[in-house]
Amino acid sequence: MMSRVDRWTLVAEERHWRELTDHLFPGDHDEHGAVLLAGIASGREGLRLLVRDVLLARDDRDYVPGERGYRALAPSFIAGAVRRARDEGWAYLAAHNHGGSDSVAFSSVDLASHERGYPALQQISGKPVGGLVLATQAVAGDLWLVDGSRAALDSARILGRNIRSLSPRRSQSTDAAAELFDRQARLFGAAGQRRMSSMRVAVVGLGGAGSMAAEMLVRVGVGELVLIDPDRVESSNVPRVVGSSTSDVAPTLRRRRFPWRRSAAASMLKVDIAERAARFTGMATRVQTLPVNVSHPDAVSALSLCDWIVLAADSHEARNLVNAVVHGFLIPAVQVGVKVPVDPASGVVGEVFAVARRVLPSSGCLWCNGLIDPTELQLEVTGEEGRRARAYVGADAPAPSVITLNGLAVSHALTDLMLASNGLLADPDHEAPEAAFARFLPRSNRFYMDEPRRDRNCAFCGDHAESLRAKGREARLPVPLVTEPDPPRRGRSSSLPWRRETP
Amino acid sequence: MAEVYAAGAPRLTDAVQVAVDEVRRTFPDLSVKAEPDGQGGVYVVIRDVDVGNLYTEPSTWLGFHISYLYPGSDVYPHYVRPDLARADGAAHGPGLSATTWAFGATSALQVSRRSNRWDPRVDTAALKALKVLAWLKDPA
Repeated sequence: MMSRVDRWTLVAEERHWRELTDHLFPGDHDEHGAVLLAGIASGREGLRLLVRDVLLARDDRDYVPGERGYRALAPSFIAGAVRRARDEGWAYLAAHNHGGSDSVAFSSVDLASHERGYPALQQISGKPVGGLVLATQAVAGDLWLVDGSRAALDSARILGRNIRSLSPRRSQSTDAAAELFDRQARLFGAAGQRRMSSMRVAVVGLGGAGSMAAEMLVRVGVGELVLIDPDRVESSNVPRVVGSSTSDVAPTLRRRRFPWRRSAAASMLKVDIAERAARFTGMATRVQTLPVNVSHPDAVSALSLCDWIVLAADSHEARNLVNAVVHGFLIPAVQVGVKVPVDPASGVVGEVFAVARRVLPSSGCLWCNGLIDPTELQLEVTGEEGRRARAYVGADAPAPSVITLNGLAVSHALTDLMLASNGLLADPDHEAPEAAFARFLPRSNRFYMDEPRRDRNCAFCGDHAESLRAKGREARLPVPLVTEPDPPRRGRSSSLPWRRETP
Repeated sequence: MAEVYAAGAPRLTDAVQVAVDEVRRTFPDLSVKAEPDGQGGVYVVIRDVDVGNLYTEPSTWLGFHISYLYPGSDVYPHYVRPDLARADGAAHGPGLSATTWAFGATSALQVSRRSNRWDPRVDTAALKALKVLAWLKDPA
């Protein structure tokens, strides 16, 4: 049974929100209606409803003069939408518009209609049902949960080129930002700085790129960081891992002479180095460290509760998992990486590039863009077998890596994250994708913004019924089947966000 | 003849179960052993597979691992009996190498045929097994 909640949030892709608002506000100042179908996920505070589809009610056919109010959804339209919600497992949200701009609320007629209709709809669908009312810059919601409780919408998060937040009443706070953030708040505004302090951002991979991302996120004032990496620092990492020192690396000689004391002499975990660096700043960012593989239940659970994910691990398994979380839970991510091709025989250096790829549910899927290699996936997840198989084509030589190249990718990625989160990305002067892949070629002094591809038949971002998009807690994520997860090593315990498989 | 999983054995993902069923349908007259890997994937061994007349032995077992990420992941590599030798006495070319398969610590020849254009919507473990066998019969 779902636990009682008293607040919920709505998450929608920009294309869906635009489709809805274009329909509700065509410029005729009249009232119009629609239904949203939404997946359900746990949030940090209450539920998150993830918009999967928008069903537009045609005027005078699906949205008709009401018996008690001005207009209402036609019974046949409601029946079709509720059947689909029941059959496919979505929450049902009826939406209509009022006049006004910066604030909106249900009328007494609206609320009376909810009380008459929603208990029956909920019985049919077996999922939460509710209503939304929109003004041009505000939205309010009334959700009826399966346990009989009722909750008001806290805010709606719209994922596009900019990440917008709407609530029933636009905040008019004029509080100043703390002196600590005075300089950057002159860009973000005090409200923007508060927004940053309420954000929870995950960093997957705390190597050269990830440790730099963590450092920047702390100093920019992000409220909470989730750091995921099972690895310990090695001496060859120190030139790039921000916050590390040579003393964090266990002396090789000591490990050789006293192998039974290996744990005592082990090098520091990369997540612990990043946490130490965060503490050193004296800033208020809360840090959760998870020294586990990205597909570990605790890592997946933590990722599904974040506002952003910075993917700085170079494994295809991590790309695959994060890509699935982006689409299943409608959480934006940015993938950063550097490639330095060097011919092993001649030593000739090829075209070096650094990338920062924004991944949104509507654009930038890593599968659609050929950035997940199915054979590498197989080799990575088959352990010793995969390592032996790879040995056939030659042992993996460490890839070239330089801190300044990581800086190119990370700095761009986090600038994009901050500007988008505060609505500061400029509108493009042409029909641009919501996500774009930034590519730096430092040897050629060139910079490109590549337009990502999208395959409507994709298993992750596609429009077909089986795709993972917005399925929330019903999403089947690419993780090993588990019966009982290992106890978490630290941080709070977590519930599994995906359907558990039992023998 | 297909073997039956022991009661209480770890489950397979739905996609892996479909793949195993398809392998069995593709090789209906051969013994197909399927051993769950504990994560939702499965080790598969097909016995007495015909490899034509290129080798001193007319048949081999063919083993492979379908991981829990299938069909997102390729089925790679494949393994065959370690004593498979060319009838003409020539050495094996690229793509065949002696190894130990982690499944059962079995001595084997590794058949390295990665699918650079693996498409999860089209490619299957059974199709890949057929392609590997076709290549074994005619590696030129």
